[in-house]
Amino acid sequence: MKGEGTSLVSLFWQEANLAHHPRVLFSGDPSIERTPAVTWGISDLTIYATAFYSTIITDGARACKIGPRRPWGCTASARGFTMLRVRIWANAYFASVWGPYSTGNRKRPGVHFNFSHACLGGAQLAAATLTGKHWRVSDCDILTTGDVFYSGSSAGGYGGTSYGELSRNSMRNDGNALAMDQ
Amino acid sequence: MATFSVRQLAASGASSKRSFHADTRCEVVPPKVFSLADFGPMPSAATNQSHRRGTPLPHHSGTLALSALDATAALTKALAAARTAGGGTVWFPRGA
Repeated sequence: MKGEGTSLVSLFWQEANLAHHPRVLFSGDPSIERTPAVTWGISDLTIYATAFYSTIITDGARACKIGPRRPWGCTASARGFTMLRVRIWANAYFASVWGPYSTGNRKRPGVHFNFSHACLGGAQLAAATLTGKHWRVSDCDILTTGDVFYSGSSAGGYGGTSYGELSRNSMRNDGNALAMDQ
Repeated sequence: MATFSVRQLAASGASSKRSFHADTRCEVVPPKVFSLADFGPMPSAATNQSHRRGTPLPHHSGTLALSALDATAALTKALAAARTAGGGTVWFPRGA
């Protein structure tokens, strides 16, 4: 998926308290659950996700329907995912006074919203979740109040994440720059 | 191949009045899929086959005008359709 430049093409998810919300904004082929590996990329695009989200980009396929509190689980393995010259502005704390690990028991006074972070995955809120092999993220400009990248065995890919490259990215964030479990 | 989900662009009155404690319903975007291929021409099969073999897309080498891979019109229509339907997933076929 290729735009024409971060200053020319942008996609904006409206800030509104809606009845429906996607768990993942960008993902691989939704028709593939496990194999074969998904190969795709995104480049030259600006993404504004300033309201609710769980994961903005995941290199795998869509999350499996294994429960509302684990939307990142059970994605297909990805191979060769590229994310080049992508700008992301993301707000992980929309209408919430607690961070991404909130279970939704607290809210900003006076603000009523339909979703809690628990609904959307709770503990993730990463700009990009990398689950596969041989991925490359370069020359991106990411501003987020949550995590920038999330990877590791529990990120959802089958067989684990390996052989990734992060280079020449500009990251301004409040969460982890790279959250990687074992 | 890639997809991205489009949020419902118009909140209903009933939704906006729902209390915070009702969020345990955890609704998600309706599982409707809008393929760009249904809304306009996509890159040729030859282009797709070339990409599948791992060779660079033509516009990377300058041998094919970028307009040949431009799916802007189809994307605009697909987004509008998703909005009208109250949300869904817009699917980018290979090469878009």
